[in-house]
Amino acid sequence: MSAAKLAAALVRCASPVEGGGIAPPPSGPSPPRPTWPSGWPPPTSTALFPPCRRMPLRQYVAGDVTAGLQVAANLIAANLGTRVIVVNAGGFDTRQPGHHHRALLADLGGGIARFQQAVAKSGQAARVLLVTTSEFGRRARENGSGTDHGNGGTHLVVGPGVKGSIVGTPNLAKLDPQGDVAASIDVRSLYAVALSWLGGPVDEVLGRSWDTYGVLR
Amino acid sequence: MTTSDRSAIAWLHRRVGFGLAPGELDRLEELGVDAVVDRLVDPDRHGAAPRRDPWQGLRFSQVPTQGTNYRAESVAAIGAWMDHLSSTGRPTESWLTWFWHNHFPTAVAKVRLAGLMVTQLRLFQRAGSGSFAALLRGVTVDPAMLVWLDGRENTKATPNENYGREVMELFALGVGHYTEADVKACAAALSGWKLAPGATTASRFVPAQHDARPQRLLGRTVTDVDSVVATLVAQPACPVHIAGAFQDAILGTADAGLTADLARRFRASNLSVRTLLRATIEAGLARLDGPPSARPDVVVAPAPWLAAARRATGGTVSRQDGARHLLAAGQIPMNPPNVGGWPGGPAWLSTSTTVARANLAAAIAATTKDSSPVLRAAASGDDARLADLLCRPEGFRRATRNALADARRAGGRPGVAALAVALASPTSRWPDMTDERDLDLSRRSFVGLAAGGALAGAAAWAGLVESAVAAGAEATAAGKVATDRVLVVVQEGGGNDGLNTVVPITGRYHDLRPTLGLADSSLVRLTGETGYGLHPSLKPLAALWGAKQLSIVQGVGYPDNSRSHFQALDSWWSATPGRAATTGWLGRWLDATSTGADPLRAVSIGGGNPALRAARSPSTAIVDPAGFSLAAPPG
Repeated sequence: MSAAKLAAALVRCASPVEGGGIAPPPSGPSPPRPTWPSGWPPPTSTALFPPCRRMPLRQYVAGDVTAGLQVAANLIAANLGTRVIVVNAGGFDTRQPGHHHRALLADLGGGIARFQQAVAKSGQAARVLLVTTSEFGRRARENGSGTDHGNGGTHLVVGPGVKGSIVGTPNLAKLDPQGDVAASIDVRSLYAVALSWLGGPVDEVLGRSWDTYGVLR
Repeated sequence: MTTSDRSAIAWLHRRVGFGLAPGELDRLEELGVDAVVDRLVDPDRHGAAPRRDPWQGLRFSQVPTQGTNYRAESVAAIGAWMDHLSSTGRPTESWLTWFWHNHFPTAVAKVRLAGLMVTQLRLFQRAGSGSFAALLRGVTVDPAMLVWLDGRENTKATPNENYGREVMELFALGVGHYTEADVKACAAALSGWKLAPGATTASRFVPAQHDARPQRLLGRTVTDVDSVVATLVAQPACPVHIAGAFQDAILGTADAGLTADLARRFRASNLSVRTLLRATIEAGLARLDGPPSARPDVVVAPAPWLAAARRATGGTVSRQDGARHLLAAGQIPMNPPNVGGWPGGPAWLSTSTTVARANLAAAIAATTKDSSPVLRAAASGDDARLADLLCRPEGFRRATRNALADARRAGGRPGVAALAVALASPTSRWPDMTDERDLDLSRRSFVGLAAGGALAGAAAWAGLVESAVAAGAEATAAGKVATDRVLVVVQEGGGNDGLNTVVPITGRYHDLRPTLGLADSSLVRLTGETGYGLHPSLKPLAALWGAKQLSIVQGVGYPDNSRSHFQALDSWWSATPGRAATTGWLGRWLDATSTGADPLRAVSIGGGNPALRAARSPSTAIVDPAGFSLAAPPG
């Protein structure tokens, strides 16, 4: 018995659910790969040590965003009832020399643009909104080679549902006491935008209503 | 009922060791619990085998290399370490090495020299049970740590706060026990440390790059590494922080009264790790005799689980296969995900890690020899003997016995399927659960990170996923088009530099960013917008802006940001800044809108995300997108 078959068998054994199966395990014969719009890069390698990582906070894996959005676009096209997809990318803790902010943003920008093309091609674009999140922005004044932890961050909201505007300002003339961009828009306002897109409930999830700054149409 | 010596000794080797090989438990039982504790805690004085170097005979590059050398050396170093953990004659010394690796988490992915990682781990092996102050001083100027947290970039001219912050937040004190001014002072006093040229085992102090001005740190004056370490370990928060970490790792609890007691004894011993370790172990042994609710529970992480499975069975996996499975399970030794270490606990019960654990158990069982006592017990149906050989003399619980009976009907080489079940079973070793009711799916509340809590949970999840996939294929075939709105959240972990993402076109920006600043002429112009331009790498987004499909929100944050990654992440995922929460913002949305039986309603790619933690709604985590396949519908 192959390891993969055995794994499936033993999961059935342990399961009180009749006929419970298991998602294709990563070993054994390769299951069919997702079909994918041409022009996308191949999926990120699962190599033990992908070639280009430097950052402490979840090492930068070349193409985290692109590879994740690739799976996301497939999930959306597959009629599975998926409403929320989180793509976890790492490596944005760019405080030291030789950091890869340029490559990270290339992955981000390229990944988002290709994702929009893919969902448009599968006729799904009108129902999708993409939002970026990150734990904080970085110190306004560089440390010579990178930037230390900061405060207010800049986020993108993408899709046919947005107005296409810039909201808020990283007021460099009025930094906070630590020398960081002030947090002038609460994270819950960004979430209120996202939750309104989903049809709510916003107040129940966020405790009360929050200004959505007219981000959506 | 009093726990037998045999059960207590087995517990010790599950919690502060890496399991036992057939026959070992018999010999240790003759020694008695007290002698075993002595030997584990103080091996040199109590007749344990002499210390072995896990990496003896391996040679490591002296300078950074790209590609194969780096990769091959890392795989060899990790493999040698895993071999050592599964055969160590000084289990608790090896366990402490592992513990400190997770306390001072450093990843070869950034360090790029396996030799530096090995140097650091040798420090943990050698000094891991001595004085915490000496260990902290050692790790502060350890070459791998100087690379990992940028200490080597921290100079008088260009201070870098990374280590100065994390040493207080994560390594010595805990958040809330220092100020932002302390972070700056700590970084300044630690400036000037570099790697020694050409050597992988040494660091050196360069006075010319050291900020020698006296700094005020936590109310004391500091000027260098020695005064910083002395100041940190003198804080009352230090023994509490370390005692809490020991209690969590060994007992799986966060009992404030016990932490205070352990911290008091730790402090009275002048921060002797051996004293703290013994006190924590004794607290655990005392609780083994208590009511089940007081019995310590931990979820064993994948790599220690693998070491114990190998020790018990003699089975093995190739280094490449082992690495692949451990990657899928989310734990490559020497490669923790970030400076906070592995998430641990329930994170090891997610769907992805459960599938990986099943695969690994199957691989180990398949390579276990027919002559192995473990396989013989598995084949013969002697469950009591099998449990004892797997370091569980108290036996399996009923759910596991039922699963074993089923597995024996599965066919194949006798005993293999049953052994795989026993190794992977939720009531056996990983997770080390004490409550059988956890297997009752009707009562299980799914959490975002862990869609299911066990193999049973994974199977139920897989069944629901299968149904969803089948329904999706049917709907697609029938020409149905989904209209429900979808939200995609891209988490830029680490804290994205917003000012270099959407760049303000002002002179002030260039004043603040003399070297990192992007020339105005290099920016991607946004039609109709003169105040800002995009980073050149974001060129693909210009068309979306032109089509009015891109909005930008700036200055997003929350009140009282501590600048700690972990506290900030807590605030972001919970959306309840300043207040602890058990659910995430997306999890609460799921709870408000989901049926509770649609695990694909929310999917997290590239690992779990705590924003999806819900009170009752399942979700799905995919650790490795390339290892997950979901065929898109044809056409």
